[in-house]
Amino acid sequence: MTLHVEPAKVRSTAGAWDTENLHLTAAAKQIHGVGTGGFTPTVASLVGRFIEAWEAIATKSASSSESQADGLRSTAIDILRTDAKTDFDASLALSSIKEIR
Amino acid sequence: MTARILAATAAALTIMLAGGCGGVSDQTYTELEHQRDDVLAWARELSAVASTTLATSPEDATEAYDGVAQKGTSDKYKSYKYDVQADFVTEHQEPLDALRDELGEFSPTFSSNSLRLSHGDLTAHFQTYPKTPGAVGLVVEGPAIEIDQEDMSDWDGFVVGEPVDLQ
Amino acid sequence: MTINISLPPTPSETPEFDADGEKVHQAGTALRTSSSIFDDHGSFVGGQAKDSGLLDGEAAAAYARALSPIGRHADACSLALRAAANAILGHGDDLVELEKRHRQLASDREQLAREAAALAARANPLPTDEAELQLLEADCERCTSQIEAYESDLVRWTEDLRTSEDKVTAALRGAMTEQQVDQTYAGVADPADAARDSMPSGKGPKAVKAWWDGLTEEQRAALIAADPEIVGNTDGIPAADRSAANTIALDRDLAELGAIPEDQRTDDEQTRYDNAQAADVARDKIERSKDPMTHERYEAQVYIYDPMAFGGDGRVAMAVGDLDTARNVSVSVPGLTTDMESAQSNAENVINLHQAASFEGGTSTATMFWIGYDAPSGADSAGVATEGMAAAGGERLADTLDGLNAMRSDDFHLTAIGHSYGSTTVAHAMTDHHPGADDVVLLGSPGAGDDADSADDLGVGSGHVFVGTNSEDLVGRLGQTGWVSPAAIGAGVLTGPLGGVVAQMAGAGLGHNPAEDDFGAVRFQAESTSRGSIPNIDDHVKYYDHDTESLANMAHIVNGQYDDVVRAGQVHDPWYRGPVDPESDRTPTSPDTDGR
Repeated sequence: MTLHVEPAKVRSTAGAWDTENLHLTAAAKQIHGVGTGGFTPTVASLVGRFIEAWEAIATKSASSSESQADGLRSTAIDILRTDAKTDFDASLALSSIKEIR
Repeated sequence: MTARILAATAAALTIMLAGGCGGVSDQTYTELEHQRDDVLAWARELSAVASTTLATSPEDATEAYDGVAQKGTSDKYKSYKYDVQADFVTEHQEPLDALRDELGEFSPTFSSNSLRLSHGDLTAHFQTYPKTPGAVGLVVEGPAIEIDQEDMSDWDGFVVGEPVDLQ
Repeated sequence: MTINISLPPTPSETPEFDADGEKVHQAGTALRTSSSIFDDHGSFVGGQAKDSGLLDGEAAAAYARALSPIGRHADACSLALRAAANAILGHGDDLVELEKRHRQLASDREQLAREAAALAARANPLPTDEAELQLLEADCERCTSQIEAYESDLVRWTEDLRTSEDKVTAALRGAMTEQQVDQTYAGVADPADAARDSMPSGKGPKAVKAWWDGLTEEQRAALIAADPEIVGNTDGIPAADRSAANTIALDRDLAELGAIPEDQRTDDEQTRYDNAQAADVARDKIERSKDPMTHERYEAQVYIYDPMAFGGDGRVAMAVGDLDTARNVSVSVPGLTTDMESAQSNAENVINLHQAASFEGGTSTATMFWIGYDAPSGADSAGVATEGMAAAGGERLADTLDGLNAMRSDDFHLTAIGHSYGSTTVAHAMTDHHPGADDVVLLGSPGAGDDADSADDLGVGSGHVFVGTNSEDLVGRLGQTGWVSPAAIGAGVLTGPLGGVVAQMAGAGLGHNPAEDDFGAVRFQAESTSRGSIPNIDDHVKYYDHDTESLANMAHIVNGQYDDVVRAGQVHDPWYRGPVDPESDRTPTSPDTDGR
């Protein structure tokens, strides 16, 4: 029987999504750290709101990446669980898919 | 409990409260912390004297553990000294002369544009800048402490050019 | 005769203005780095993410369907944030200019107000003498016209400030929500794409410069943010743009890798992070240093940033000063045991050199350290430090020097400086490739390479090949002199990390000793007041120290002040005994190089 999942590929792609989550979280942190101190009062308050908005956008993109990673792993696990009922290879592959980051 | 034990317990507690040592050994950690305390205390003292003498206040004060190359063995930094830098802007015509008069206890000596001072194993200098009259720089630093480069960068107390309050 | 005296009006107050263009610039730089992270995210979603490993038809299709909007949104976010960042950077530039004009206005206003008050005092009571009255009238007219000029400057300044504020606020207001971002930017082509496609490949730095100059400002800004690794490390692109790109790459590495817990970093990630931190510390060190004459804080230009080059040793070059505009430019090449983690000590060297050049009268200088070749370092040092790595490094250095020449259209003065094994590298660059340097400095040289029999072979004229060798510098004694090579003296007798390296250089045969009279270079004084009494390694590493003969002389060479370079007697090698160094009998001096 042929597996419906390439476990190594799932692991690495899901891991890469996890890394994207960390990178985008870093972007959110970096945006959060942007100071409004050098701007004139006319511009500073708008910059403050802009920073707040973009910190939220980056955080949302980070969460979305994490969801992709988790979703990919869980889809693969669901498929392998179904296959494992009839296929020993699938039950072996099942144990190899886990979150590293 | 003796006073000595109490003091040791307090020191240990301080270390824990400071947020951990990373990979730095306890002895080196204590040395680094002491140097920072000593340099900061003297920098604040010198800054106060300069503020009064030059009728001004410190600007852009920063602190750092600056790498000192152990050039005989490697280009990589394995020794660090803590330093504090600050600037003053004054209308005083001869700021270094005025400072020398006030800081006699620290063995002041002149070089071309600066006044050098020493205090135990700490050194400091006030410097003037020929093309920018009125600007006076202050650097206060301790002696180099040998430490593994990676341990240093992992250490929570490692600072590079961060603002510091001299008031 | 009637004389009408109209007293000048009191000039309007200069408004309060405490904006800080530099800080605004920092804000823009941080946002541009974040836009680059979104850009990478978009590339990931459109590339690696597609290869999910799901082979099941329905699940794989569902996964693929989900990717498209994510990628589209990431690309839109990248473009929107980049546009906002660029608007803020432009606003920062405007504010720097406005700050200067504001200072001038405030000073003008103070002076004019004083003058107007003095004229009012002269007019009360009015002088009775006609000549005095005429003079007062003329002075009042002159002052009034100066105040009118001040008032129109003030109006112009206020309008310019408002225009700049309006521009940046419009850019920010257009990208405050995800809906706005998707509406404006989703599906929009990145201007970086077309620019990248038009880049000349396999051509020299002059072709690159012509290509870069031909791009629009928008395309250049887009490429800097989208492809910082390419822009930051391509010879021919101006240093300021390279530095902007490398700043993005460096700050992005620090942010991204710093966010990964240390125990979860791969070996490559850890190496990249270590090298990024080393570059960051070097940059901080430069930007915390000051010019000893002007009190100005130095700015760092990151000319090369390639943290994974040479199997993780990394490549980095950083300048104190502006490589695009400085009249005098120097490039310092370090020697053995150098990799990217040595950036901090190399930064210290070029800070010292810049300070000394300024102290000696240089007013337009950029001094760069160049860790741009695979110098024998770390584990490599256990191998043999043959001339091969210096020859390969020489080729890379020549590319860098050619790049500097290509990016400048003016006639500037370029000095290539090599220390230790780096001097062999510099000599190879000059001898084998003839890049356009004006002066060459070889410090503590173990040999000028097999291809150079004399200073003339370096191609700049023997009067422009300068050699600094401390008489007790062990490495400086390793080059071939006369018919007996003293190289073997070093081999086998030294222990310790650098001792081993010296032994390797000794065994490598790195060419002629450039401090010898036969070589024909200009040797300058480079003794140290803390000189040892026998050949040693400590005297090999003092050339860039403040208050040394060598640093003062190097500063003169970098400044082009050739008459001020203090010449030293050359090593000579009589047939009846070993090499003789007249400098060993001279009492060293300690010239002031920084006023401290």
